[in-house]
Amino acid sequence: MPENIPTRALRLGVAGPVGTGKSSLIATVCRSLADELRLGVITNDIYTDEDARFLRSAGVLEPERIRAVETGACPHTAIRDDITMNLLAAEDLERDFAPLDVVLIESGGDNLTATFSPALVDAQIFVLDVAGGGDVARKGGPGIGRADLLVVNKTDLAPYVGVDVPQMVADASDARDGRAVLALSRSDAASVAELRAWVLGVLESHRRGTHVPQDPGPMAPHFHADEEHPDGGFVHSHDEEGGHEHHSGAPGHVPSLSDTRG
Amino acid sequence: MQPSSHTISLLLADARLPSGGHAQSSGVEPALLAGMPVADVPAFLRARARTTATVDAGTAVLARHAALDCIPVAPIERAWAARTPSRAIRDASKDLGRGLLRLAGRIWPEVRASLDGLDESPPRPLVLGAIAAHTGIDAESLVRLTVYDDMACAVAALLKLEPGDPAQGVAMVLDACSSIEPHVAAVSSITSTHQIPAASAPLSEAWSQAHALTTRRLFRA
Repeated sequence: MPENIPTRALRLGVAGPVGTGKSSLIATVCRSLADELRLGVITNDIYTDEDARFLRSAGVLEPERIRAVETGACPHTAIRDDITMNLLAAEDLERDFAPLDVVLIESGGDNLTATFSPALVDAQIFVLDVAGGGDVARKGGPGIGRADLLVVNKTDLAPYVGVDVPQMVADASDARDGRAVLALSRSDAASVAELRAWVLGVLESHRRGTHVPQDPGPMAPHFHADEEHPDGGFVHSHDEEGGHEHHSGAPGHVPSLSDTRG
Repeated sequence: MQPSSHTISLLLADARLPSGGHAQSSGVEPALLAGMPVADVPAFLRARARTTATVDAGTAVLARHAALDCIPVAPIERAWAARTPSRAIRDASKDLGRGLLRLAGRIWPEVRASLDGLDESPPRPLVLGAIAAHTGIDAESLVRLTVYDDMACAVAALLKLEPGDPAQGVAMVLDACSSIEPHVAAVSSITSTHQIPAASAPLSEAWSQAHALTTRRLFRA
């Protein structure tokens, strides 16, 4: 039965703070997959179409396949509360270049709390970088805690910024209950190959109809400093409903990189 | 139970309605980028209310009639386009209409049927008119809704572009909306395309054209 349903492109979100390398990661994905997949890209810039222009100038895709949407100064809203502009852009791309395999949607660089609505993307990558500090992964947040893949980017810079990459990855894995974490550098071919394999794995389960979009959900449990507290603060969670947990091994769960690496 | 038409009007006027409105500035960003002083925004809004917003309101009224009487809407779209010479403004209205139709088509599927003969991006006033027809919103309320939504969108954008006292923004919306009250009865009673007001705002339209080409903007138009 599934083969009778025309499958639309996999919509893959890329979120994360400003400057962590979201555009560069998208360029890397395009470079490593453009020969075998039909790709499109949508960027959500806050104040310019800079990211779209960067990607067009990178020459990784035909310029027409890269489109920018305006966010009205609300990059959170455009990917989560009112996703209309992004949905229309995704539908246009899928119509103009049909059939597409993957549409990559880059969020406007924002803080640690912005994640995509599962009504907009099928899966999402959250991007941190070593230059942002080795402790960021421990701070948690919905993207760090529950995006489909957490990327620790720019690992080639680690020696210059004094960050212990294996420790940062271990912290991230702890924050994510073992969900996939990838230490990435665009100059490290092995890590790029892992990213490529992850995207192909999600696409495969999307096509089989076994991939279920997950909402990273409300703020992850996080630490509040409190001088009067005996431990110097307390761990606090907004996740009171608990109905949208992303259970490892649930139907539609894509094997994480740590799963496949054993 | 059907929700009251009054509730539907409130829903459509709510800036939080998820239909893409947050990416629009009703021409305010184009005006400020072109150098219009912030102090002129109240006058800008009154001018917009009397010109482009009134064209939209008249168009919405006719689209409502067309949906009620099962008359083709394509001539109404052409009449609107002839009165909306800026391509950038037409494109923005079609974006808004498409987002609104995307939502409305889910809630009131018959709205789509009333817009048969148009492409998937009907201008916003045609979608508003079709929704009004199917939800029992009367013509006068539709005129006020069409203008109010445009003004509220402008002021929400203004607060991001040139932050000031939000209460002043609210006063500007009310001032611009009340400025068209003398015309509401006339606009809400039109019955054919030649009666749609043909009031354009050439300077604002030129600003919107220039804005569509800039690479530094927060809003679509």
